[in-house]
Amino acid sequence: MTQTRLDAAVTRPGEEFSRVALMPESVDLLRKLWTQHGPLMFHQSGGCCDGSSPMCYPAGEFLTGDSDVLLGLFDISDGLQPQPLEFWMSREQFSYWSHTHLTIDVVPGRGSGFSVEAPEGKRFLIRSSLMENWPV
Amino acid sequence: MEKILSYIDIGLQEGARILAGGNQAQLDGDLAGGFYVQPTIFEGNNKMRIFQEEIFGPVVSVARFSDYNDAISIANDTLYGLGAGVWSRNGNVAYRAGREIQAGRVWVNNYHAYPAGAAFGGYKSSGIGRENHSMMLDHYQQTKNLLVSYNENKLGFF
Repeated sequence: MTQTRLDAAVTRPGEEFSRVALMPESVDLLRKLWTQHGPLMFHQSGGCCDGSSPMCYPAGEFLTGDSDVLLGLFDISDGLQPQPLEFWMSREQFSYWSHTHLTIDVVPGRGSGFSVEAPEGKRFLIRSSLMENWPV
Repeated sequence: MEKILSYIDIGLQEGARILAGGNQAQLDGDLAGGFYVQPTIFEGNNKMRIFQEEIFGPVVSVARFSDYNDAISIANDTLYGLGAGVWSRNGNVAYRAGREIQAGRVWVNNYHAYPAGAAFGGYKSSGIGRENHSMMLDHYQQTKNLLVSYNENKLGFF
């Protein structure tokens, strides 16, 4: 079992603080899903339904582009083989979310439609907190 | 329920004021242990995430406005535009607001009516296209232009 929260490496140019983190339970679930699906990614699109959850896909299955922002980069490995995992968000959505730090937790329930954790009886959940010193 | 409570949590952090509710509802008897949330009313402004996202729970966020233009700018300060509602005793105000609010459906002096055949769909990031209206049947049909001459004589071009 993973014990500590994992902070994403900073990926936004000009920023020096991590915007997104994984709870230990999320790291464990992602490692399990990685063995089933291979490399993974997150995308948070915003909107209703699935868009309000962080969607976990096989890496590259969701095509990102100029309309998306890379918020952070995790390495969920236990130190042996690197397991890089990107967290993306819709650029439009980011304009309304930029003042909040996101922590990805796991709770019981059915995951969103196309998110790979759906059959596990668990789903990823975003917990938010205000970024310190962020001009609102 | 977890998601709704996470929204209430960030709403409080952002400084929104809870006017009613704000917690999980603990009910007795057959409803004990259920996934219930108290009906919740927030007061705040459009910079707060609870004003910008669809919470999918019994949570409503209310904002103050100073005049008509302020109200319209608040209503349109969103990425989305599926449904909106406006109330006024002044017919001109109600009509102008219905025109100016950028949403695929605007209920004026009523709310949540879904008559069959009324076009349904959103502005901005709430979707592309419309469903249900009779003109949508056109999307399932081909348009063919059949050019027929009834002239008994040869056309004579060739």
